[in-house]
Amino acid sequence: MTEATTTVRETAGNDVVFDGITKSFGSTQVLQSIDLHISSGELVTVLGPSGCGKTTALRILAGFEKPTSGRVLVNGQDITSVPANRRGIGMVFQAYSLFPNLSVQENVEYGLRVRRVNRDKRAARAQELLEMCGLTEFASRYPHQLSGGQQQRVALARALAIQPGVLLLDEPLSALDAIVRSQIREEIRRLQQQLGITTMFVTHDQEEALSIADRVAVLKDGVIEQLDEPRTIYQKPSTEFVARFVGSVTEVGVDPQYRGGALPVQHPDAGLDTLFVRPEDITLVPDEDGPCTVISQIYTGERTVVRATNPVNDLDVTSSVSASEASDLTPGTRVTPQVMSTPALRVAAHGQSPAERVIV
Amino acid sequence: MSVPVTPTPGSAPGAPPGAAAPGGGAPGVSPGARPRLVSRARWEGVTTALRSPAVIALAPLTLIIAVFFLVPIFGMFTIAFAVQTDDGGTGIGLDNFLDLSSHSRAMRNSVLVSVVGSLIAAIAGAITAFCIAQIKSERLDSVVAVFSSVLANDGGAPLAFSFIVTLGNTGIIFGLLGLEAIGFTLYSWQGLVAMYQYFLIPTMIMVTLPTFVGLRKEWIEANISLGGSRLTFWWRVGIPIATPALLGGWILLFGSAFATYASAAVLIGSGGFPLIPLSIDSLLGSGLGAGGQSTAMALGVTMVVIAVVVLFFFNRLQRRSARWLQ
Amino acid sequence: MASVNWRYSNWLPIIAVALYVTVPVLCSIYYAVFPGGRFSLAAYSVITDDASLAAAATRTLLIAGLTIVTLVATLVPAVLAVHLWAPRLRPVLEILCTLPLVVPPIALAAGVVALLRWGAQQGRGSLASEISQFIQHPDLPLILVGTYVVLCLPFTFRSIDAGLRTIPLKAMVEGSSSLGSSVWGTVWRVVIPNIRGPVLFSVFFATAVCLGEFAIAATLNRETIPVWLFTVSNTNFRASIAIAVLLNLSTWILLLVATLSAGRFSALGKAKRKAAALDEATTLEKEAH
Repeated sequence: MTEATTTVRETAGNDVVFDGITKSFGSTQVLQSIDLHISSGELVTVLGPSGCGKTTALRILAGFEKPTSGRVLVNGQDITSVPANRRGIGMVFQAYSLFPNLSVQENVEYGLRVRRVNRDKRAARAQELLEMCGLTEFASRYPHQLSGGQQQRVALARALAIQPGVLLLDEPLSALDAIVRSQIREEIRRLQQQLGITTMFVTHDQEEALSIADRVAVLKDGVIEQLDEPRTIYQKPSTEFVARFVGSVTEVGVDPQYRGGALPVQHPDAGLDTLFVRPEDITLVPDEDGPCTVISQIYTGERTVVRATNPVNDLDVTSSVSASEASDLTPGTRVTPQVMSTPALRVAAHGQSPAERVIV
Repeated sequence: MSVPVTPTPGSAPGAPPGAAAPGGGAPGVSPGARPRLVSRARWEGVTTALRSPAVIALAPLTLIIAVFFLVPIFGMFTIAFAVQTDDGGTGIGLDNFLDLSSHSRAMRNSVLVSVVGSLIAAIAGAITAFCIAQIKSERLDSVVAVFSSVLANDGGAPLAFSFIVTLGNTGIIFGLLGLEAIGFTLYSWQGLVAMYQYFLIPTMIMVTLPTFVGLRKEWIEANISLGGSRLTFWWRVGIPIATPALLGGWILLFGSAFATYASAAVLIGSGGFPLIPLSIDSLLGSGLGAGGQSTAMALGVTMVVIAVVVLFFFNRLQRRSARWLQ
Repeated sequence: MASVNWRYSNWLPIIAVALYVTVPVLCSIYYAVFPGGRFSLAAYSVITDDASLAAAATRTLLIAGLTIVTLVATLVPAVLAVHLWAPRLRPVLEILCTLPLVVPPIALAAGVVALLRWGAQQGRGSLASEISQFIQHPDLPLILVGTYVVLCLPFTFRSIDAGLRTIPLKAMVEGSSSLGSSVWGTVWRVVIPNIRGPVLFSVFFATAVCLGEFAIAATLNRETIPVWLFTVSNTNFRASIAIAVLLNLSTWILLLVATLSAGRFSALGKAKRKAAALDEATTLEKEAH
């Protein structure tokens, strides 16, 4: 296994550059001048709603689509016009991509067979990968005899067998159920780090994107809204879209002079700054004269999500509290919401200078 | 149509849950009653089942299939295997099948025309179906599906007429292409093969189109990303996946060609080129009495047996490719 | 995201097959209406001159009408039943409905002949003999209706079976009955409209079978249009071609109408539109999160 790892390491770790990639299908522009640098050995997830162009970006790197303009560089070399089957890029599809007439072992060997690697080497390499992915006992089975999770593991092993410099994953977990999904997610990450392979992972699931990535690129309407480490994406979203799309958030309007403390629960409006606050940054303080009333508690194990509403304007505030705090916040309790730490994002009212967007 | 009384859980108060099986055709036995052989409860269960919507809905079709299909086939088998015993009674024997040796020429002709005709049609039909699938138009697919399923059944007398005016000795295309020069004549086994293509090719298209449409884009792209070419894909994945459907289609074509009667009857008549279906007809129509009829039935049984064998292999192969294409 | 890959070479075999299928029809038309190179509808005078054609046509249409009604009225409930209440019987029904595909019509004809002769041998006045006489009646041979229904089964069963599989049948029926509708009311109001395409296909397919079947009708000596064509071809070949062309073209037009209407009303088309709408909704929902 260590031997395999070292042989892979020699070829792995290519860096990838999207240089001003634009793609149009007819009159619809799917990608608008995308610039993205994925460092050697890094895992970048591309996150966005369906139709945002994330799959197109991946397919351009794989060579299945030609960009309308711009260049794709791998390891410093322009591969924009290299055909897909000469790129040596591994790819895992959403589902059902295994060849149904070939056994698991033959599927894994496929790429080597195409490269005319001799039988013994092929078999040895396939065995290695099946072992790495925990599939040894399934080597002689056929795809229709495997569960969805096992099929995706085989697909991963097959993609890695050709020792690709870059690995692409196109929503590889979306057809699986929740438990298998997190298992395979961790396995992908482990293998990726072990092999040091540069990886682009496309998904629409924000939890998946945050948990697996070195960096996350949030894509909207063909434009990268933000490219940052998962922590930064969540705690310091740079746009309203990112704040809303990743994690849950309470949006309230505050006076430009507001610097924390008791939160006046009002709708964002002209002349007001808009705060985007994460549930863990809001505290609900029981208060006879508080503006809000607790309406629900959702117990999620470690934390409890409490919702309170302002009956005057029906605006909801969501807070995440510990179990002991929750016991004071039964539905019907009057509360005053307070923002104790820096909110995720503050958008200044129209006409204010950008400097005042600095928070608290 | 009258509304039948259906046993629903709500209509039987006091019955423990799960005691009555609504629908499903299974007689629901009332709770508490001992299942004696002809207990009242059991009898009620049977009558309830007979009034259940499943039975009412299935009965008419079952009756039709029984009267107009199963009984005639059974009758044919009975006559085919019935023989006169020495003491004047009837018994079961294969005597009628021994007469078939006099029809060996018809059997040879039938096999020749069916094998060659089905092979050509299988290749032409598969290529066409492949191209239709490549175009990726759902509208085209559905138009082709409907037309091919109807053309597949077009082996009637009008087909022979249209071929006579097209490729017959004075036919329009026959003259245009100068087919006389190469010695072609429609009234030969080659002519039958050419005519059979008219319904065999659509049959092949009908059977194999779903397979070609079902080849997933992911397989093609996975092959490319693993470094394969178009050729590698077809060699290692595409053709192996399509093979069961192609073989199955070919077998079906063989059966279909073997069974064709009407157009062959018009084209060949009862003349110089005997085929099995034509022999059956002439035996049935001939006033040879019971002997001729029994031989006809024996030939009919032979055809059914061949057909069942054909269906068996067709089904096995179809199931295999269906499993792959899920 | 469909990248249109319009490769003209793919059309070549399709056009070749289409030509192979249409040229004989075109030649027949030419032969029928251009006798000696000049346009003439003389061949069609047989329609008015020969009373036996009208009789054969009436007989055929009567048989076709009865076949269609019987087929739809028995097959649709049966397939519905195995989908809704007796899923375990579905394979049995499937085999029964597929078998006629492999039993050659001439063999079926032989069987029918055997059956009818047996009936006739049971002696004058006996029930079997009476029934045998009745279903062979020259003006309305019910035996043909029955066997034609059987011949239609393989394809029509598949079509209706597939149609029912594309719609959420169980949910529809349960939903409708929870709203107080009776079983057959639900079937009539909810299920049938959703399988209009397959049912329409069955109707036209049965028409095509009835207008074309020769083996059984000829063996039983019942003069339907195909049998009439065969008889007349011996004395007036041009007339038989002329009528055959008419028959062929009307079948094809029927089919074209069937295809177009099936496409517009089919459950599949509706389901696709619904799926597209659903997709949009979930996309919006995800964006809202």
